[in-house]
Amino acid sequence: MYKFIIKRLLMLIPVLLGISFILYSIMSLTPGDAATLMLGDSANEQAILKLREELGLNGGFFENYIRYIGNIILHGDFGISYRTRNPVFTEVLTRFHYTLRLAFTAILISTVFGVLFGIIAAVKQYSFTDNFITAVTLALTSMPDFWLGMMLIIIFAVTLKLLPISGATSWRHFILPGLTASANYMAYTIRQTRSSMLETIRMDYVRTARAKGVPEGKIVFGHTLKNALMPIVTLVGVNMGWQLGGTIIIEQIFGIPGLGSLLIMSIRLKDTPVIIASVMFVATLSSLINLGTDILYAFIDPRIKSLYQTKKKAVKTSG
Amino acid sequence: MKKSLSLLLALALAVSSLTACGGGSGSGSTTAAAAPAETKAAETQSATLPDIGKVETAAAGAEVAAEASGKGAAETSSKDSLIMGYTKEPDSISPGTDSKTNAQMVCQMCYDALVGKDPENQSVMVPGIASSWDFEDDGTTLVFHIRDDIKFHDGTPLTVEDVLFSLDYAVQQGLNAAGASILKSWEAGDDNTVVIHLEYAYKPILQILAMPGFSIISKAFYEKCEAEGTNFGQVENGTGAYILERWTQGDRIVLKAYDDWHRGTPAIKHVEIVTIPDETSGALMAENHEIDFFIGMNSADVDRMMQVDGLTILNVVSAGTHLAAMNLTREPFKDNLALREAVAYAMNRDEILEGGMNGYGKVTPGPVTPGYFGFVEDFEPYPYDPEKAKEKLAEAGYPDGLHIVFKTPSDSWYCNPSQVLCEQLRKVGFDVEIQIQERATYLQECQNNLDYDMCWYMTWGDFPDCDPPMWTKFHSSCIGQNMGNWGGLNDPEVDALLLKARTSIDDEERIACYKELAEMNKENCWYLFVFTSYNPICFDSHLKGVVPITSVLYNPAFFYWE
Repeated sequence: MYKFIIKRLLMLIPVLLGISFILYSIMSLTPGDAATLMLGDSANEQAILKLREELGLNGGFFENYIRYIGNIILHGDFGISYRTRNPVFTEVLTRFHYTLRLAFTAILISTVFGVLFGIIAAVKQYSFTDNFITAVTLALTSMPDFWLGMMLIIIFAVTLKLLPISGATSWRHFILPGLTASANYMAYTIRQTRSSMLETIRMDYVRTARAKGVPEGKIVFGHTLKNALMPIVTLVGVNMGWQLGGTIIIEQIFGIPGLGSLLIMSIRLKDTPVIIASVMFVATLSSLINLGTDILYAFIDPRIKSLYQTKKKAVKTSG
Repeated sequence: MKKSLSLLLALALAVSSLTACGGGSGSGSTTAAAAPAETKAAETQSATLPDIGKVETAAAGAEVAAEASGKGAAETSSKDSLIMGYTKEPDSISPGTDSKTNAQMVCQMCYDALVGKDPENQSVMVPGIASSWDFEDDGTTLVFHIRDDIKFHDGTPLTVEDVLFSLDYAVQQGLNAAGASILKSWEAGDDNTVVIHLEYAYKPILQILAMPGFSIISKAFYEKCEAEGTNFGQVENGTGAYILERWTQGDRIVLKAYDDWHRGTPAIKHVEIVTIPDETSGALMAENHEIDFFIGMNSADVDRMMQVDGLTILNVVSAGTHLAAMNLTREPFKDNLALREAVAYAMNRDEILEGGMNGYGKVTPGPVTPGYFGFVEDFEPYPYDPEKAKEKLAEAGYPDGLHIVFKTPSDSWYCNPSQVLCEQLRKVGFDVEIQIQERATYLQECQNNLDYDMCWYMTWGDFPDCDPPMWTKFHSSCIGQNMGNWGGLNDPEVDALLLKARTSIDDEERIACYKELAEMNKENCWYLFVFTSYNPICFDSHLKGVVPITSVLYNPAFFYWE
């Protein structure tokens, strides 16, 4: 298990190097100049050249890239933001906790309600309840999130005045964005849960348990759900990765100063250090989440756990 | 039953998928220009939107101010806080470092300059850090008498040394390059004065020195920041009406009033400037009274917001003039006056304004924002005449039409009017290929490389004088990398006229020069000016003291609650 974890962590290094190189190349090759975009259209050439010198933009591509990546590897220094002149890592971490709160809210809502309604749909297969839940999931996947967000704002914030429209200063500010971000994934979770549950609910041991008089609740939650968890856990892991990197539109609509907003602003102004640091940060987190999901499998499925234990025993006996 | 349900679900899916389609309303939209909106007569106090252009600023601004002061003579509210919403966030609030208007707005709230502006008339200069000033040597020397009773927010007194240091600092900032080129040298004079020598007499010099980029900073505080590695752009120690309390990146800036401000303690004690990236969300927050003041409204929201009780909407003529540029450095427009005239006759400015901006703007056939010094009031552009346009196109050597590439950035306030113009050109025989580009690409190709046939852009005047926008647009020294002469115009007669207008201190002479330049531009069809856009703002009707400002640099120090 430990070897597996270390191996996966070591694999991160070439992945992150590759990401940084690709992003740096894209930002260097696309038209536009960070200094011009920062100073505006009316700044003169001398001012632009002076700022380029300050930002270290005057060297060649490889010179700039090697200097940049060397600073990261040797000093842990991601540089300063061209836009704000703050240390890049500070910028990213400051924004990240907003994205984390939003992602956590969305994952909590989509997982809890997704699993719950998925179970209900599976248990009451082909009933009106099942069909209704299916219709709701179809609607949730069809709605664009920017439209859903605006509708929720109009209903709950403007008309009913129950929740605030924009901002991120309190937990109430994360309810509407969390609902918006969770909608699509809740639908996927419902469908996956329903599908997994239907597979396991038809197993012989479930029929046996019923025949022995085990209460239905224990059958569903104690036996069936446990065995249906694997694909659901996979989906939740993928969901987490998406939420951390994919809430740009929601952050814009609800005024949440998260990583998505930072990324958009940085792309517009060609703030390359921030772009690379943000993407590498999200990539690292996504990889760690995937690793965590893989480790979780061992705890959910005894067969996978025993696989590691069998290997360990084999190594011990052979040694 | 199942079949009916399936059909119902399919119908729901089809309808849901269509909700993604539709005209965009926010910034960055590249959908087709909206149909002209009808102006509704609302019944609230903002029923007829006052067309508050700079040309009427003295009048309209005075009208608004009169109403405010009349009612303000009654009791003022005990409410002393203000929440302002803005669609962008400043990157830096130190003088001359961030071109965004909200950054400059916060800068002017925290810092003072040598001179200030009358809050009710931005053309009138008032004492700032300097209590008075004198012009000497035919206007090439300025002597400022510095007040000795001003303190920075940390309690340290402001001295002549700080003023000199601030000028040293200001001229090094890229954004101040145009103003800095006019300042020759500066030194301490007698009796707490600062003497500034100019390269030449320049009438609007006080406007430049009043800009936030030339605000006075504390030398000691700046040096302390440098020594400690503190980001000077994210902290402040000015002498302005407000002290920076807290800045949560991406969220809000919180300020509190500086009780010892030399122009009087502000009535608004606490200000929060909230970043609201989405224009529609901002309008909804204003409607919900979650914010008291919103800058950056989308023109599509104005009609609806006019119906909301308790809100005042003002359409303020902006400092930006939209124009269509033709590339004068290469075929087909180079040396082909008839072709340029064909474009001029094909252009229907009112239709472009209606279709591209929902009518929220003011047709400006001449250069520069209405109301700016040098704006030619009675200027007649080419009339809209599509038949004449076709004749001119044939005369230019293209009786069967001409393929041209029209470039525009993807922002809706450029893209939408561009599309209307392109359609007008197609109707007279041009085969227009419109390229909607991301801003960085558009600047690289059109501004830096002059690689376009036609393009759309906007000029901006930082203060109410013709010189900066006219110089950057028409002078031959402003062609090329990051400069403003996008058409590539290179005419010695024009250069001489601009220099004469710039260096004269005679208002009549300056106005005559700009009038002559406007006529030359019309005769030669170098640039086709189209309209000046409005910057609609909305605020709580109980907030008084709000006077429309073209530069959008509002200062809550002059507001109060009724």
